[in-house]
Amino acid sequence: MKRSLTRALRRTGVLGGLAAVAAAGMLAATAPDARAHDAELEVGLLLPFTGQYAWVGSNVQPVAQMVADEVNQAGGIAGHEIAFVQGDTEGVVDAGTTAAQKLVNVNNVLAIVGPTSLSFSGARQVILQNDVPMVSPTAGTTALDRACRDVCFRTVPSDSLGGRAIARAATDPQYLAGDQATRKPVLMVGNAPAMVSFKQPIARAFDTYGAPVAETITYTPGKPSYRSEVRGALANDPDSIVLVGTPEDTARIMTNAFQAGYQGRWFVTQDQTNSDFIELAGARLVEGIYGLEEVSSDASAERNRAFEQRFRDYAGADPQIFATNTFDAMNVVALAMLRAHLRDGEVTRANLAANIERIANPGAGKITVHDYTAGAKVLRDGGEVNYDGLVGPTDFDAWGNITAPFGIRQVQNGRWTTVSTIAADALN
Amino acid sequence: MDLNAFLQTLVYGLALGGTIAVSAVGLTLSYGVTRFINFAYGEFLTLGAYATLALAGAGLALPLAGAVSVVAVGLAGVAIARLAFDPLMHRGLLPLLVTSVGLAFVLHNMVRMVAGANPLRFPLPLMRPWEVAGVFVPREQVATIAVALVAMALVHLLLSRSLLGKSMRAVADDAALARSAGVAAPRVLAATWFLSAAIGALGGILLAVTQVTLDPAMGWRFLLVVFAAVLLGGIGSPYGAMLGGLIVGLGVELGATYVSADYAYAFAFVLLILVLLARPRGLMGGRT
Repeated sequence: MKRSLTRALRRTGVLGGLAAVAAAGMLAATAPDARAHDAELEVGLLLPFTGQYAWVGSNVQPVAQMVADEVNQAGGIAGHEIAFVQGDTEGVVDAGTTAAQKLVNVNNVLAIVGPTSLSFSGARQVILQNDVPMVSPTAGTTALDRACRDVCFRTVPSDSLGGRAIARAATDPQYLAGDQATRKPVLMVGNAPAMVSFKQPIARAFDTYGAPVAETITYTPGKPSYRSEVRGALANDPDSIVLVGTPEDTARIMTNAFQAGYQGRWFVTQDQTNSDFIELAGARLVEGIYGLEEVSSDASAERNRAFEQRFRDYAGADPQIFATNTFDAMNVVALAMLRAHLRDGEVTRANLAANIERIANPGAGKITVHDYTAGAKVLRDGGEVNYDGLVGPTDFDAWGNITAPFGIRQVQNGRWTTVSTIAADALN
Repeated sequence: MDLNAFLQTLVYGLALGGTIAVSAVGLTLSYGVTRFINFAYGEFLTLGAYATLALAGAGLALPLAGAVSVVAVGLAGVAIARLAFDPLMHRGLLPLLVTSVGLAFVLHNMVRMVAGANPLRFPLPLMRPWEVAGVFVPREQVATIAVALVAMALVHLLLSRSLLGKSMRAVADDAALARSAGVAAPRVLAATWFLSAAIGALGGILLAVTQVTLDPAMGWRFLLVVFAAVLLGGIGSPYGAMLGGLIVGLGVELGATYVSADYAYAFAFVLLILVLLARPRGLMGGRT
């Protein structure tokens, strides 16, 4: 392509060359499915690679690459390798819109892995208008609960479920480590899309479980201190504070509450339920707090351990948050590509979306598989597969949502320890 | 109105205001002499906080680490100004402004490259507050207010009693006249850069004490609040910056308590707009 473009410029001069470029651009814009016949099948990684949330991109990319390498080393999809194009959302809405437009309209990707909750609202229209299948391994936002049929999928449970899990655990002693049930909670939520998404589900669930939230405080993220906000929360004399925020703000709010004499319980969300947060906030401050995490089902626990070892061998580092979700997202995309090629003879945006449901959801005669290699063998032999992932069954509802169990963890002796598991059906 | 809650909010507001005031003084000092707003100023705050963290990690006591960092960042400020700003001093405001924005990004990313993008904890021990007549007074906030008061008193003495301070005020008032009166403008400029960066570093350390965690964007983020304080007090006026800082700090905390935690900053900026409508040159009538 590059060589022929250079020749065209030489022969026809600059104007002719520009016309050729424009024509090529128009062709690309009007024929997105032609990508399937090029050397590579391009998948967009629509994630923050710079900025405050750059760690999300850093966590996701190596896992996605590991699965792509598995596909490519097995001959790719009909000889075409899977390649990634980065779309850096910077963890903000406007950059997310720009990055999505570039991936969809310029790079002409077949599918998108991403975005995060932080930039979903900006990318949503671009994805919907162009019917680009997206599989997000990170976006728990409730904005995705009923956002789009057929093209939006995610391999991470909705914050609606996460919110219910926190309230269920806080109000039911069977999920706590010897503590009494919460009767008077206060909810503190950062005013950013990824956090506000938890607000209604948590408040509604506490109502349902008979312990209405005494006060909900929505605070400005990134403030140097939250002493006045904490004073407002403590004025309710709560027995628990449920805190949804970034790790930095959470550490600040907990420190400010400690300095204001608070000795009650804390419940935090997935972003804090890791060893980095203990280091950031200080072990003494966070001893005894409860956290939420997505856990594997009993059936997939062994596969999770095998995945962790495989990733360590591949990347030389431990898998981080969203690693298992990314593994499932990329396997779903790769198996759907292969099925689209084998059954439809081509891989297009339209048939890729339809094939995602066909390879992920259960059905009569389907063989359950847990990775690309096993699934590819079944598909090539003429069978049908039901992909069952590391995070759970990976069965999508009509809106592309999955359900998964949650683990309740507590910091004990400076380490996160799982104290109970809430099954997915306990949250219905 | 609950008097205890009000007094509690005042204590919190004074501590935050002290941090903003110290930071604002450094910015307004450099503006007074150079006549341009240094957008890289926020990075001096970041450098001060990270240098203190690094030195404390190397085994220095926290106050000593802070003092060494303030001097080191002051010297770095002089070097940076020599390289980036001094050659452009006679080419108008725009090149200086653009350079300062670019410099902010360079310094920001240098910190990120060396220290990483993840937030870090400032090594301050966890302490329960003093309780005075039902009002919680966090110990580190008392230290913050004390350091801020001492810093502002020292700036006042420097400007009003020392030859350097008088020279700085003379150059700020009329650089050409000061030169003709024998004031060595380059020396005054170098001293101004040193003071501005050093005070910025001190502001960064106080900010780190206040917000517990550090990240490479902390200074850049805080710059907006510092600008508000500088404008409120009257740009170019150190005393105005002190007053502006205290008002903005109190405004943010009172706003969070009595208006909405969600609009805490908005309340402070409404105050700024109201003051500027009544006094376009700010409270202390600084240069516009």
